[in-house]
Amino acid sequence: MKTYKEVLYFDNAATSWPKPDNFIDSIKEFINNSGGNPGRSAHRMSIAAVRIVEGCRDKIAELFNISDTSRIVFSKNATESLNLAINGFLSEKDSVLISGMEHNSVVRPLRDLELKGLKLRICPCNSKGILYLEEMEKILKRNKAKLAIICHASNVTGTIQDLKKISDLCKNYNTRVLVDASQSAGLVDIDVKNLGIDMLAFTGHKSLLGPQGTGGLYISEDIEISPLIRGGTGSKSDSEYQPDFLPDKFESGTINAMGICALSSSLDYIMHNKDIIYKNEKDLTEFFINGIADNKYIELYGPMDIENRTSVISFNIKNLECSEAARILDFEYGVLARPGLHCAPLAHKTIGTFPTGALRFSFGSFNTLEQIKYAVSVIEDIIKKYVLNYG
Amino acid sequence: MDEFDGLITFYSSHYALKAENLLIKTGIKCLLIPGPKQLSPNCGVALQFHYKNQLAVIGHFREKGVNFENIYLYKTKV
Repeated sequence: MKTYKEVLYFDNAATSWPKPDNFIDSIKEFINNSGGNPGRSAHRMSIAAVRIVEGCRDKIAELFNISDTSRIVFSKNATESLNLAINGFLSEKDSVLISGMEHNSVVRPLRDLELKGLKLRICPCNSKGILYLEEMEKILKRNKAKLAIICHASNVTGTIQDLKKISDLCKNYNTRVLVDASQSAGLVDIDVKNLGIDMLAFTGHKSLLGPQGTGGLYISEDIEISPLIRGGTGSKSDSEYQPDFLPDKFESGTINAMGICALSSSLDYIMHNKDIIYKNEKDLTEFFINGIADNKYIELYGPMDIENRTSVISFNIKNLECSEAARILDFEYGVLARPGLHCAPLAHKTIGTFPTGALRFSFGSFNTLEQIKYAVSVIEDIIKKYVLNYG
Repeated sequence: MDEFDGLITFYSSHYALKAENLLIKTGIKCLLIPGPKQLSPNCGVALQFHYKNQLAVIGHFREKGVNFENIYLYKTKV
């Protein structure tokens, strides 16, 4: 069988690879010309670094339609952002609602608060991962939840939730909405105003095509939260108390300016190519699903509707453990995928794949139709060799 | 040389940069410099400008929601 010599990277839901061409150049430029500490020393290299950080903040504001850029705070990833929102906004006396598709970055901090008294309600989703809105309303009616946390696009099934309907429902019950946009930011349009989002957690290294170690949280004007960490901010330096204004309140310690610089360059790429990126990933997803859906040795999870999903596709090959399939894909074919539970046991329980897990392919901006065609043929080949034992 | 005689201080460098961008867009000359510590313990940078533009600057800041700490008549020593 003819194989590609290059690696086929189908693990973009874990972290996107490769990055846009201007990514590495931007880091070189930062190191050579602007490597000061932003917001600290006020010399030309420090000011140059501030310009880069604030420029990136402006681009994120444009991407999510955020009018007050100070309400965007940088973090090291979506997990940190979600922990900040959860621990900063909720106390053990509160009630919270989450979907049955949440990642452990949401579930674990909540389980910890639950041990101290927080009431955690999990709203069920169907086997495709779509939230039951009528169940959500029943829960909200019975229990006044202070916050609803919703995973916009699932890291297991690619399911996209209807944020507008969810936030409209939450507004009726005075419940605030925190959205985990780890898998959607940069790929799916997010307008925080139109969608009624109160807090939005995002990471830089997935569909925003930036580096690992970058992320952020949007906090709407009427939300008050406490910081996770406190310390030097370069502001109010005569005070031993944390400043109360944003973004400084949540950005103690030296920020990852070099990472933010690279993220900023990736945002330029995304903003110029957004429609192409989305169409490409949709086409690849459609081709792949059509290529494997009718194979009787494959069990496919998640929505079949291409419009309401991302390019994250989970499936199992019958009688072949997902981790074994992933090893064969990597060692024999150079196809890189992720098996297991994807840090989302709750989502796997929802779709019926707990505790065995599933094999996940997640396509990205730089995958091609040729690669997807090859991937379909590889899966057929694996079934012949390892399931049917011939060939 | 047309020397700057005004200085705006900020709580955060986020707002200093926002202010600089806004003033450049509206055609008001300005320059980011290290903030004099005798005036403010706040963010490291301050914005020099021509004090005669004070009212226009405040108007632009209010309109665009740029938070600043104070405005001074101030000239650098050297």
